[in-house]
Amino acid sequence: MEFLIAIVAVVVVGVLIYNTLVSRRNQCDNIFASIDALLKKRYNLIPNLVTLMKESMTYEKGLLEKVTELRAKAMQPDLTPEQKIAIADELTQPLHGLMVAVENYPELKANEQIMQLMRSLNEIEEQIAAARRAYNQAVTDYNNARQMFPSSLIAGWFHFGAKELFEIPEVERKNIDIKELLKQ
Amino acid sequence: MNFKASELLDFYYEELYPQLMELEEERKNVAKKVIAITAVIGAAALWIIIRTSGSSTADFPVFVAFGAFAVGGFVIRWLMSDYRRKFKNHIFRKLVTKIDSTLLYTPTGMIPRSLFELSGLFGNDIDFYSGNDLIKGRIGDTPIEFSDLEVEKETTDSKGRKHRTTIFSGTFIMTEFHKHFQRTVLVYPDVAEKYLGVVGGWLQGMANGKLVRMDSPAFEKEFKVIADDPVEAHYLLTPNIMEKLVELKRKANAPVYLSFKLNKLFIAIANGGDWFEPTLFKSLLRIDIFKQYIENLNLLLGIVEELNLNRKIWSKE
Repeated sequence: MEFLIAIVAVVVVGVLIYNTLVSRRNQCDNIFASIDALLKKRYNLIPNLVTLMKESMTYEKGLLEKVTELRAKAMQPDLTPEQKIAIADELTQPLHGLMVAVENYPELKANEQIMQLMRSLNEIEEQIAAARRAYNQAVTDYNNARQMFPSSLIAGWFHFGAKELFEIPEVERKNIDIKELLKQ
Repeated sequence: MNFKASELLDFYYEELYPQLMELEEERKNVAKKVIAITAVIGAAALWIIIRTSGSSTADFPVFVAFGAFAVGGFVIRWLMSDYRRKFKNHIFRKLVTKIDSTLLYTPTGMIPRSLFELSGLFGNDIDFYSGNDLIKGRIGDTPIEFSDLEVEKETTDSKGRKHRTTIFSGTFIMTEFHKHFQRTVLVYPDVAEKYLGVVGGWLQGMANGKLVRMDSPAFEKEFKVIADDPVEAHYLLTPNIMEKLVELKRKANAPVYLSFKLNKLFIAIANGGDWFEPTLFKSLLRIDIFKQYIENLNLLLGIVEELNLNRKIWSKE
């Protein structure tokens, strides 16, 4: 009888651990999907922003072209998650460059439509940064569960693979001083 | 908003000291009466207990002690009421308006119950709701209001006796949050992880599926976050805000609760609700006590600046 109870207890604990691992893996996937959605929102803002800025910006043609080119690249179908993130990372720097460059153009700063776009973009940038942090935290929790005993046994048997952390690019870590920029 | 030390001393000695001297006399009288009343009620209760010992039930002395406690509490409140009213209307009001002349202080006012319930922090099963010391105003463009609250629930024990259980006792703050958000994020003091470490965190995760782990160990040690969307929780709780909340908790030296809901930020500091009460057994003339009132006010009003709530760089107007 005791033996039977022990077996049932082990099975119950095993099922609980398995479910925890599954829910943590799903958590990572859900957050990754949020990042994808936020990146799409970011790409949707770019055409308007570029069109409005093109008229006035004389020295930043290179930046504008780079942003347009990377957006087109990101819009391609069938990109792997790694490719999506790589393009998003590459886009961050020229996009922030554009946001800072607006400072040199009083006519752009006076344009309410551009300022509204900049606010939205800034909001999305911060949401993307938050989503990356949330993803990294979820991946850390998942990887910890994978590696810690006794859940490591279940993770091994059911092939719960490791997940990679995002590298948070340096440019994203320090916020650009958009406060000054938006002061009109 | 923050006083300089010299400014503080000038204000204290020039504007408050004469009134404090008068009130100090009253405090001494009230304190003497309170001691006398406590002694009389205590002695009477003891006399009843001794006289009835042997002939009464085992519960009777407990009943008498509770009765004495209740009567004593009521009488002391009544004795102090005039002194409290004068302190709040003449001393504390001056202090509040000195810090910021646009602030509105209502000694008998409180945050409405509907807003307390809206925060979602403590549930709606409330039987007694009271409060005082309502302060309302704006810091920059951001509105803020706070008051002390005493929120209780009636419970019945196994013997059928009714008790009041405290749900929340302390300062409750409501302000606008500067970012758009869709869902609710609740932040509670983290008891399990603070005392049980990793095991506590693990148990919490098992008990609550909406628990979100944040990426700041210092914050995680003090708080737990309950949210439907972990991305939104990270969006609202930036590394900077988490650092400031740990600091707020340390300065308040009391459990701190937060609720981000409907574009508002509710903060509940369970400090027992005596931050702005006059002293009874300590001299009113002690400058350290006076400084404490200022520090507490600055801590609450400083929340807007500390958490950067005036920073309107998002699409929210």
